[in-house]
Amino acid sequence: MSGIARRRFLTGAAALAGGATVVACAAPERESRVQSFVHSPEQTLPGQELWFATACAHSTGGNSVVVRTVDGRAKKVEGTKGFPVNLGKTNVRGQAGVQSLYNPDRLKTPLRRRGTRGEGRFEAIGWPEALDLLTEEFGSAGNPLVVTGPMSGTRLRVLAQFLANSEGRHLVYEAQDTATLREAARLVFGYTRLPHFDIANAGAVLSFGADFLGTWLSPVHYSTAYGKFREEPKRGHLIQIESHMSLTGANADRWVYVNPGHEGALALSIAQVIAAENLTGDDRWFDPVNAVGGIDALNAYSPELTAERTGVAPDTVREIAREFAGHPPALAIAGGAALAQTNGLDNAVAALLLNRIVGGTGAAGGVRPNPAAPAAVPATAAGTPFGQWGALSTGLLDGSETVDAAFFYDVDPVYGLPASTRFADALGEMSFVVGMGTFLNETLARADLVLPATHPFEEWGDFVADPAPDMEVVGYQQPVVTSWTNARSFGDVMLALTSELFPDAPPPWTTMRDAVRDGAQALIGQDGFDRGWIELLRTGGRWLEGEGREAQSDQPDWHIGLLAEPAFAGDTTEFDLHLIPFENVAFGAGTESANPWLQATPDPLTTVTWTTWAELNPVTAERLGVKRNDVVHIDTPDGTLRARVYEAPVVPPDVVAVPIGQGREFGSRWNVDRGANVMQTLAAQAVAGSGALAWGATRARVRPAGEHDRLPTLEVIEDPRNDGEAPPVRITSG
Amino acid sequence: MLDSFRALLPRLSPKQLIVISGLGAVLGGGAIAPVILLIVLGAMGGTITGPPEQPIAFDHAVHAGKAGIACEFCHRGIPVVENTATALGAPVSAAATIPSVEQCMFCHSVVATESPEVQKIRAAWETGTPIEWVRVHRLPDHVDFVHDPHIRALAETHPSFTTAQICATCHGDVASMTEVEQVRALNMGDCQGCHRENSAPLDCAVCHK
Repeated sequence: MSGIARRRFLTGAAALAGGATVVACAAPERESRVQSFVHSPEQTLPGQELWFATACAHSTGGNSVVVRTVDGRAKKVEGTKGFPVNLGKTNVRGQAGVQSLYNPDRLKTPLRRRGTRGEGRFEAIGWPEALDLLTEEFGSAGNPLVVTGPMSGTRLRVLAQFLANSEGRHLVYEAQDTATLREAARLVFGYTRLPHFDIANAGAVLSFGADFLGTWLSPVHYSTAYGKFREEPKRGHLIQIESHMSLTGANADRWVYVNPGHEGALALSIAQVIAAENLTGDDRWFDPVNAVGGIDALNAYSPELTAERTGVAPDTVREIAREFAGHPPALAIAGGAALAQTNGLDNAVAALLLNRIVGGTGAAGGVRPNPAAPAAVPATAAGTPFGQWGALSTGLLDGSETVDAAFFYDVDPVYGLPASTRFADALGEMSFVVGMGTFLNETLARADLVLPATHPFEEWGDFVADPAPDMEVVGYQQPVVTSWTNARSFGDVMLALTSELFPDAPPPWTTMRDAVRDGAQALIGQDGFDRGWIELLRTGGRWLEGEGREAQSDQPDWHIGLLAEPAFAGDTTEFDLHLIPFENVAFGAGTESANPWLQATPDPLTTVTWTTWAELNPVTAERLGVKRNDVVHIDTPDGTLRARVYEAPVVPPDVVAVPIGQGREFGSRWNVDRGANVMQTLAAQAVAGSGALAWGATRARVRPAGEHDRLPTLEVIEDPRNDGEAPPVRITSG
Repeated sequence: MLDSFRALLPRLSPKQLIVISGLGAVLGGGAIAPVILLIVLGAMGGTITGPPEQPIAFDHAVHAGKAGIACEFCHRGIPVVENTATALGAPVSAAATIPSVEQCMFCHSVVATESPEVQKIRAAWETGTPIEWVRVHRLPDHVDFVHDPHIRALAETHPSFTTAQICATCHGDVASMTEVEQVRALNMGDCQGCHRENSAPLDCAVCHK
């Protein structure tokens, strides 16, 4: 070190370090500036909070939330007190709403395709140009197609204006369809609307695959109901029967594994025990049993005769039947993979039939009919079953069907339909495709024009709760903040398009707000409307008990002889495991995966975050020569996917369970190129009778990829490969 | 940049500054140079450095002094106190708040329209541009200061005080200042001293939330 003494060098280094520390700690220059408003916003004082009630339109079931805003920014989400669906509660999806709202990767401006379809190359354009293009293409289209997610209320009325004028078609794409459950409720009870499953007041709940605490229908409502159900001294009894342990299964008093597709047979076995042992104490089981084939037909499903099929020991079936019937009022529900079989409708019917057998219909703690939606605010439009999507795809590809212009709003069928449906190719056959959403997705990336949609916290709307919570509920949605993007709401775009295309028969409203107010006026009447309108917005909506409930049919419209054997895609010798996909508790079927909080939310059972994993029984894993964190290929007859192994003793040995929701090419920086999309690998099979996708009816084989990649989990478990890395999160107390 | 340091660093009184600088000089040696640098910068935070230059030469002596406009007429986030212990006027904000351009224009659409400074306000109003004022008083982010309880407490302990006198307790006689400047250290020692004198709570979590 020539020319510089050691002491002098150290002095200089220390001074530099000190200076650097000071610079690094300094507050940004902008913090010594303070801007004044140009106009003083009404009601707004800097730093003072304001709460607005609005709808959490992305939630399942229809929740109302209150959003805390400070200085015009949404800060926190809570449940709206008193709103009958979510009863003042929210779930992780509701809480994470602000991270979708302010997500930097949101679509911010209209985009026109530059590259080929699916390439995802776009140029930004303005709204006037986008609306001109939209008007031009839809003006010349003969048979426009509009595809949306499940939708109710004024949005449907606004859309109806467009469809009536343009003679267009409306298809409803449900990421997880409810068609099978709806059809089963119709067959068993004669209900056209989803009934209210009164878990709160039940004495026993027997659930066939319905993860009502995590993902089934209206999980926030059912979670609150579950709290009441478990209250002492009654403390309801929960039995969960499924082929992959869910969050609800983990909370059950008894968890029973059933061979996939045989849930219906098991339900009939339970019914047979109830009848044979007269567990109801009277003969109330007689009429419903007689209506579906009689005791002789039911005797063919005695526990001994079904044990081999269902994999449930006869004694266990008897215990379940006694526990179920012995804790009145007893409630049987069905959902999840039990319904996603080729015989899923029969499984659902057989499960719901138990309610009629124990007499638990109509009364508290049973299956209760819901009132019809008010005429002014239409109920949720029925979902388009998978079979029709397959037919549309085939028709487009073989040229027997043409679509001149298609409008996709807030849906992603390219992601959610099995690759064997070839929907992505079919989309290429449509002459002009418009996609609208808050984030780019696999469907929007293939569109010619992409429109940025407002977040639910930025728009007007209303909805009818589905399933209704034992009363008619209409929820209202108001913008709680002004959009920071150049987005518009679906309703406003539809109204603009309709009035532009059909000037002779323009819609009666110019904005979505007008349309929502108009619906509200029809709902609550003209007298004192201004006050009533404020009250609707303040409380989150309107609910009425009692009136106009659907009548229950005299007897179930089904026969035991109809119960079919399940059919699986894939040969049992080549594909030795059942592939059971399951919905992610945080972001469902992948609709909310662009949200980083939801990505980082641990799966409640495995604590895995951020990726796709494959749950395998340790016995199966050992047979395959894989351990936790090993990468495997999961092959099905229609595709393959990569996932990391998570060994779990609660997964049956013949099952590989994979969460739905990852593996996107387009979205935000948080969900692109992360994990794999299990839906793409499924066989294109439909549920007989309902036409829904039988997403639990594909077989698979697992083969090691010879790689090892640590799963990001919250729990601390020694890595069996002992690679010396520290786990990502260490629990340091408790 | 120096403004930012001042806001962040521990503040010292001039006396403390002299003592510590003296000690530093005696001990000497480059090895403690960064320490001395930090101390000096810290001391600067506590010393009164004069009024900053503002984008518009707003004169408090004219508005609050000569014209006698009450503090809370423009700073609308603070509660109104009318010579009694009863604080009126809700809602109140944690911050006193800077008036909006619109509020300046209440009067200046007709008053002193020819003044070059007022024309700057008019330009901001017409173009919809917020005015970027330079902060005179800034507490660090780890301090949760709310005006409301302080004003109410002073109104209770000094029933004869007007709002302007209450404000002057910390901000000095703003009504006589052509350019507003900081008159008190407003550091932790200053806050604690006043809290002790007035039997206000001294728990850490009262301010550091």
